[in-house]
Amino acid sequence: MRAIHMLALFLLAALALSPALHAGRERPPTAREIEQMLEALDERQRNSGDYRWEGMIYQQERGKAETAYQALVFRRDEEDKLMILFTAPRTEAGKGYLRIDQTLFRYDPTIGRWERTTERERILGTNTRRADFDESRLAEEYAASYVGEEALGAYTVDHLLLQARPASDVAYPRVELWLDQATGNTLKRQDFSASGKLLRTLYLPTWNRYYSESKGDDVYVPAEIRVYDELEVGTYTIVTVKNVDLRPLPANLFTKAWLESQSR
Amino acid sequence: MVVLRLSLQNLWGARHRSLLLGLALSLVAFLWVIMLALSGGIRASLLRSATTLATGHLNVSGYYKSSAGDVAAVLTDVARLRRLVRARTPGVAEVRVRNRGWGKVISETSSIQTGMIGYGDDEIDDLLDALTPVAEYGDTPALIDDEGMARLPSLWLFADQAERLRVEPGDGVTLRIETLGGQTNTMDAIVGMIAEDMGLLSSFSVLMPSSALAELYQFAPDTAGVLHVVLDDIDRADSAAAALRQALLQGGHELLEPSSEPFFVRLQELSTEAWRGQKIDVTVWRDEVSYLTWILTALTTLTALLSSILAGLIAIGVMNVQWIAVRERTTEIGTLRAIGMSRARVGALFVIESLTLGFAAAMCGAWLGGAAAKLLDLAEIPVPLEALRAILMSNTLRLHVEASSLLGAACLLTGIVGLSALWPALRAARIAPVTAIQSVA
Repeated sequence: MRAIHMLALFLLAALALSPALHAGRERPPTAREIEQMLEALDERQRNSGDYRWEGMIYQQERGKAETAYQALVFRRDEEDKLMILFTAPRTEAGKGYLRIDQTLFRYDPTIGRWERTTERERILGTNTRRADFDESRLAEEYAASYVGEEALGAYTVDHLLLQARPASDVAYPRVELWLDQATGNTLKRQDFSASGKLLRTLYLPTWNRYYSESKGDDVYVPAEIRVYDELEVGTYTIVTVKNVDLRPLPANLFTKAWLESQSR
Repeated sequence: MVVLRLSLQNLWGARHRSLLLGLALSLVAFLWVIMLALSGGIRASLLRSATTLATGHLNVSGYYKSSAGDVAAVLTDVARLRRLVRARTPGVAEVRVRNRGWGKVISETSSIQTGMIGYGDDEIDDLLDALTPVAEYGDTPALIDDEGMARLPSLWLFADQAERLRVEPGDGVTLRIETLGGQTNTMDAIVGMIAEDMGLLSSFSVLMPSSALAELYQFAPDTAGVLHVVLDDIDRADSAAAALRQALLQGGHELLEPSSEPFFVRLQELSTEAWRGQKIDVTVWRDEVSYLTWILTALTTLTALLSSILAGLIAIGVMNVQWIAVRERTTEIGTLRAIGMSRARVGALFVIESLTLGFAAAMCGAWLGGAAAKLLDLAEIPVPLEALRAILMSNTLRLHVEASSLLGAACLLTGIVGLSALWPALRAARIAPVTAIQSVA
């Protein structure tokens, strides 16, 4: 091959590898831009109407057999209401969680008892928390700062550090997010205690988009949430989301009476 | 004086024997003082942990029955009651308002059932003086004052609990209790401090702000669990309790009959009684930790038993040595009797010899024992076994002995030595001069 061809090939390769041709930030985002990133993230997942999805929750604890649960999740974001109803296996059917007015209640039909619980509650003993199923309120609950632009597998991501705001009632006072630059969706999340101890790592590799008539726009829903326990290594929870329905739900659904009726 | 001088000369004359006997006596005194110091250390540890965590010098507890079949350990009209207690208790230094509870502390990995103690804001400094933060987390308590988490109550744990929960300062936990109405209530908290264990009591005690515990139990305002009364002199607790009971009766309060049971035992007993309304109980600190004082009783009994054995051995030893001395000094005795020394003085000679040696050796041994106890206490030797830590009420070996105890031990040992020498001395005194002289021939 002639030298000129070699040189041309070399120049083309250099140009191809040049950072100027790749997607990425020219400069770190400003504080306002970071805030807008979180607001956009929240808005993308919010529905102005109701929200229902059916899912499977697989729990693997280190040294134990895997357990699987089937659940229905109902949300009314406009009124900050959430209900989780477990439908399988039979031993767990009828159990559920109801969030009303900033308070989370747990219901056990076996004893017919409602118990008030907190943000740190493990949903049915899995490694998930209420916030994993509920409306995203990151912009409201956290103050964010920019860590940097990174590569996460094949994706270019923005790495953010979130610190809980003083008035927030959150399970994790410190969170790190990796947001896909192309879509703005969360691909990875790490949750820390106030002492800086890493407690969980979440991966949200796939997102689906559903059109909401009430919102007049798309609603993004993770197809899968993988939660890895960083204290008990080998313990993880996988939530798969399917049958997403954005149509209105019954008016009386978000009540204790409704949840109780599901087990009678 | 002559007898005393003769005694000293005789002791010096048989100095090897005197030295050996003296060493044995010193060792016994040393051991006695160490055992007393150990008992004293346990008592001091028990008192420290009890008055930090579980009780005041006096306690004013309330029991409320809304119906015959139930009872709750709550005190109502607390502000007025506190003023009355402060005004009418002799020798009062402080009156603390505390809340008490029982529930679960749940971390990311495990949970424990524990007693919950709610302390007032005015107690924080005293508690920080009484508690020793685990050195691993720094010299100063890691009180959570970060603005971000100021909303959550700060929970103070002890090292053993923190290990079981696998938490460190800054970690979040959930508190779960059953309210007096039978409902389960929960609250998130932040581990604010991890303190060194304080024996058995700290195994089932966590500390948190009283307001948070009251919120958890959904107490009405002006309701609390107990008033802890701190006196200038803890030894006056019984008389102060009697005076306080009188004052409360005069103030129109209904009182329970005095009992030496801790409050949780009282609670169970009262649930079967038929009365309704609020009644008050006044207890002293010993009552609230009566389930632990068996440790002191057991140790005191053991100390007494060992001391008796040692005293018996000493008595036999001294007696034996004096018998030998009497036989060896028969001529001397005869001479003394021949020149006119009375029987009483001859007997006194032997007794004074023993008393002199006994007192000198006992004081020496007691003083050395006291010094050793002090040094061991300062060394803060860690106690390796968990069961032993629970019994000793401390993570480190604590020894405490009063000067009066040192003197008492020395005097007691001296007395035993003197009594042991009495029989040989009497026999020596009865030896006839002619018998004594003939023994030489």
